[in-house]
Amino acid sequence: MRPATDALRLNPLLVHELRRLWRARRRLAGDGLGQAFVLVLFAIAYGGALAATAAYFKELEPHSDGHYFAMSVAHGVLWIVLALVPLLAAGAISGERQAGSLDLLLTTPLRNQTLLAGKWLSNLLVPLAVVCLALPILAVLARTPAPIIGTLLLVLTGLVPLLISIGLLCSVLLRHPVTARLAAAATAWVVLVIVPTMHGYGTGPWARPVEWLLPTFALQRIGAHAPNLFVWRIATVELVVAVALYLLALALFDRAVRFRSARPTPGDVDA
Amino acid sequence: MLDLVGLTKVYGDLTAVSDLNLHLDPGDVFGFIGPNGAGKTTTIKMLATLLRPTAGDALVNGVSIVTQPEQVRGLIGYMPDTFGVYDDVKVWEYLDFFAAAYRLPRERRGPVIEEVLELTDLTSKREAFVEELSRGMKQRLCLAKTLLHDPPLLLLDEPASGLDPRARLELRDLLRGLQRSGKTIFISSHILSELADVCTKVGIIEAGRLVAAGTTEEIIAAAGLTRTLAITATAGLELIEPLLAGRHGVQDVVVDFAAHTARIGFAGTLDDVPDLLLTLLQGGVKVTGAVEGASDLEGLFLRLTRGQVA
Ligand SMILES: Nc1ncnc2c1ncn2[C@@H]1O[C@H](COP(=O)(O)OP(=O)(O)OP(=O)(O)O)[C@@H](O)[C@H]1O
Ligand SMILES: [Mg+2]
Repeated sequence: MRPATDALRLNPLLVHELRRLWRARRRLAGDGLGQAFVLVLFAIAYGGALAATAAYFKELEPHSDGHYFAMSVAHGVLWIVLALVPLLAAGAISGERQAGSLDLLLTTPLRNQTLLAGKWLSNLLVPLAVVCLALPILAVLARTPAPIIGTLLLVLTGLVPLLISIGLLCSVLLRHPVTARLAAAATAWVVLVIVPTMHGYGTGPWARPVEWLLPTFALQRIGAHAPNLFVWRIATVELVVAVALYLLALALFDRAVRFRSARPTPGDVDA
Repeated sequence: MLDLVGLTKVYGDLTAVSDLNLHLDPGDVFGFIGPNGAGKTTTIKMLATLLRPTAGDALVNGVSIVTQPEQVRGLIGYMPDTFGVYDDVKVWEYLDFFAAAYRLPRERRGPVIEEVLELTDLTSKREAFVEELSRGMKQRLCLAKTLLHDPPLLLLDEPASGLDPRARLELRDLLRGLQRSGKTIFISSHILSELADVCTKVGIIEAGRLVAAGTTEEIIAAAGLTRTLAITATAGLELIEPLLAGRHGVQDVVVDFAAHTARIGFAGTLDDVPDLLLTLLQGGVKVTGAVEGASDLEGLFLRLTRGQVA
């Protein structure tokens, strides 16, 4: 495959990264399938428990009656995105450093913004592919009502950029790709999944702040309803946080990884 | 072309590179020689704008690496000691990416890539994946990358390490060709022999300090170093030492009877070689071959880094 270089000539690193992802597609698909398998096991165990307590099930997903399969697929998409995106994004800079290719990138005339933007954008490819695969399943096989699909896409619009920015920040901050990946995955899961789950749905002292950062559960909260203010709000907050984290990553990159122009400070010591 | 002005790098309380001063002209091939940990990589990384100097500066064609690193990046071709290559792309794709990164217009990339592949003898590997290349080929690929944007200054960190003798010879020819095309080449190594006849200038660094710099001849003269004459002879090897004993300038003679060879160390010029040989032949040594080691960098290196030169 020869990607349309001309259309994307603005950012050579993006083209390069997409090419590398394309080459790694089998491995990535394997990872994705692995995730899906874990999800199925989880769903069977979870579903069994839930079937026994139908009332609890109703409480969890009040508006999704009759769309269990659709909801499972939608959750599956979120699960895979949550599992894969931070890991991939966290390898962006730290992985180059380990492979020894970071120095080559840093000695090209590409600007720091271009380097990070290329890395950031290339990480959209995998979630995009997951969504493209999931949409026909949702629409045709699961006969998902359009509002659920809309909600899912809206949730992803906030969630994916946030996950990429978390990963990218970790990859700039931490030198080793394994550490960066662990940190990114842990941050994503603690902030976006574990804390919200622990605090239940709209109860407890942290209910309000948790609700604002509640992408996975927005879906359950909204169910089959049209994307409403609640999901819009979450997506917006996530996008803003994503941009802020990206800018922080860029600032750290400028400071710690590649200096631009400078007033040399005596006694300046690199980490 | 390249000027180092008091270039210094301090890590905590370790001074890795201390007050380097150096001037190179276009077409110079500078051999930067020193033992492990001397500060070669640190110096090259500063020149490649990867590390900010603690003090001092370096000017590439008059452009400062400290205040204008962005402009410097277009003027240098950097090859790290860990030649970073992406395993998951094809050879031409790797070069195509860097050509784009160095802002080569799209229509020029194709011909330039062919050219550097030709130069580094990788044309047949054009469609191969980088991970399929041998170590030496990866090294050549990285060198090809440094040539894409036709930079006037090449910074090569130990390009000869890990190469077989044949590949080293090829590298030497390649460097000669680049020198002829007017490039300035800054090349570090602790494998010295193959640098000897490519370099126009040599600098010896030890513990962050440049202990000697100049043309190879200058350094040999300044350090009062010996030239060596390596001799093979079928008979009469035992006569060499008595024949040369007391002769002016001869410093040491090492005879290896098993290999039928002898090494004669002497302080002098090329003109002394025929006289020496004549003495041996007339004295009955059956000389079958003689090689003069004009620039014995290995010995030079060992002497200098043993602290024999202040
Ligand atoms: N990031 C760093 N932090 C602290 N000290 C460092 C760092 N990088 C290098 N050093 C130290 O600086 C000194 C010079 O290292 P450098 O890598 O420049 O040596 P070198 O001449 O390239 O050696 P070699 O021949 O082994 O490649 C060494 O003592 C090394 O330990
Ligand atoms: Mg080194």
